[in-house]
Amino acid sequence: MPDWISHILLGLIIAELLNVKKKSLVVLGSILPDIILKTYTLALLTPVPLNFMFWFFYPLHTIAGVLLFSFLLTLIFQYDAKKTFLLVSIGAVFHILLDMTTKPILYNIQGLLLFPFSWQAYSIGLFYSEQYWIVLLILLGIYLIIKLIGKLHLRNINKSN
Amino acid sequence: MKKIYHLLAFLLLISIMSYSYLEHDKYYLSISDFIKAPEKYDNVLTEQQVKIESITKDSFTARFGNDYITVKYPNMQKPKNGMVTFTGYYKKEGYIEAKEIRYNNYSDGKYLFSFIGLFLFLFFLFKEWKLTPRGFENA
Repeated sequence: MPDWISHILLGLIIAELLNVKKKSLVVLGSILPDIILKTYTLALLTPVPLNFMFWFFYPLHTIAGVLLFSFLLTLIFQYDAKKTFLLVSIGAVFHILLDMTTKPILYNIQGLLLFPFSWQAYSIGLFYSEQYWIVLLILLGIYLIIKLIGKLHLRNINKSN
Repeated sequence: MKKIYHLLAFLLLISIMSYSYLEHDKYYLSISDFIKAPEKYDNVLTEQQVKIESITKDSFTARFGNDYITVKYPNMQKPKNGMVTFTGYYKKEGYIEAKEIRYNNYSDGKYLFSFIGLFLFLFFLFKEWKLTPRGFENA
């Protein structure tokens, strides 16, 4: 799977393209599937056995799980609940799609798209795990181009006024 | 009414989390599941991404979280600042016989970038929101 900067960049790209006012909600969604699931990696730092947590929290990294979790998150944001749900969900779904670009040898368990209805792992399979930096550079390039186009567009509007 | 929907969503989420915890070993057997009862899972095919602890001539010790397991694979080399992904078969004797190995050299950098990403996320969050006793409000 790609690193969190890549996920955040994808969230920012989506937010820019959709001209979202509250970009941070898409950004929150863009790392939401990992936030709780990856606490099991703390097992590397502590003697406490945390491996069991992985499969318990795994649904938070599926589309069904992130939709339910995003809905619950509307409780803590004093903002339009529908917009909060939609923006966080969009970020989270794109997180899962970006994870699916990781090329597995057999299966990519980050891609159980239809869970809990199916355990089938889906993969787009473009980059190996160690090639995360390619994804990062591509997304950074796209983000900078979008920002540049936005600035040029704004300058043209100001000129014409 | 809204509270009922949230309660339902919470219960549904807990249900699918429990389902995943209880049923995953039928589809994706983890190293932790295997270590508990290796005789149950003889010859089950798996793919794992692990850290390497030590290497001998014909095997290596893989670390997955708090679990350690012997993986038989000859002429293994330690990846450079990274992990290895392998496919192999669980064996009832309590080890894995690897079939294919991929070195994820320099993949540790991903964790560094993710750590930086955490601060980037907090920057965007607190740029637009402030935390109050009622939750997040417009900053």
